[in-house]
Amino acid sequence: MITSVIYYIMAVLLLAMILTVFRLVKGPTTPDRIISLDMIGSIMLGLIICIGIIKDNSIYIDVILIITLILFVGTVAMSRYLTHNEKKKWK
Amino acid sequence: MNTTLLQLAAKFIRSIMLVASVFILLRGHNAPGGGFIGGLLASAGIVIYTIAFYSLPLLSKTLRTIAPLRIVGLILALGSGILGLIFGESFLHAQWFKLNIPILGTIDLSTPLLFDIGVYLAVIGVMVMVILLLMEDRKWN
Repeated sequence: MITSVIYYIMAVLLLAMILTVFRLVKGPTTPDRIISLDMIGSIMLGLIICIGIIKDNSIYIDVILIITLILFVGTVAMSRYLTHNEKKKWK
Repeated sequence: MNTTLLQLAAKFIRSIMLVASVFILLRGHNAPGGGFIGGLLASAGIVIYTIAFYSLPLLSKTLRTIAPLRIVGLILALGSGILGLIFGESFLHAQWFKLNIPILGTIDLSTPLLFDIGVYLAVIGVMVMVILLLMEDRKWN
């Protein structure tokens, strides 16, 4: 039963990812783009979990673990870039 | 960007990332993983620690400590190729050894593992050096 539900879940996640990519391209300010990149990563985690359930393979759990660690680094580095530029502007 | 929350998190996240990178490095060659991905993960951990505790002496010290690792890694990768020549095969031919340890059991040692460790060290050195040099545009001595 769960393998027939998984495809609908993946369709909804893909719809969410399309909307988030729209925000990433259009986003008026840089924080919008940072948040949308972070959210794209989270949606990708959901998709990878779905693929892991379909394939019935436990190696995707490790992939998810590594992606969460790397995602955090990207967000922190981009926010550091933002604050650094603002400090330079105020000076 | 010296915030308390990030500094508290960075200590744990760095150690978690280093342990996970060693786990991925040792799991490679049969399962997903390997030297390159492990090196990227470890360099991300070191960089996030440097971002959290950002100061110029820490940056300089990290560069001086981590950047020479790339030379060690390249020498290890070259040495694993030469080991194949020593045992009478072609260059970079894989050699497998079995090591018996009384409590832990047998461990398979091979020259691909040595090559992967070399790639791991080289990737850590190069990535940390590139990211830390791009973070600040001033000359380091």
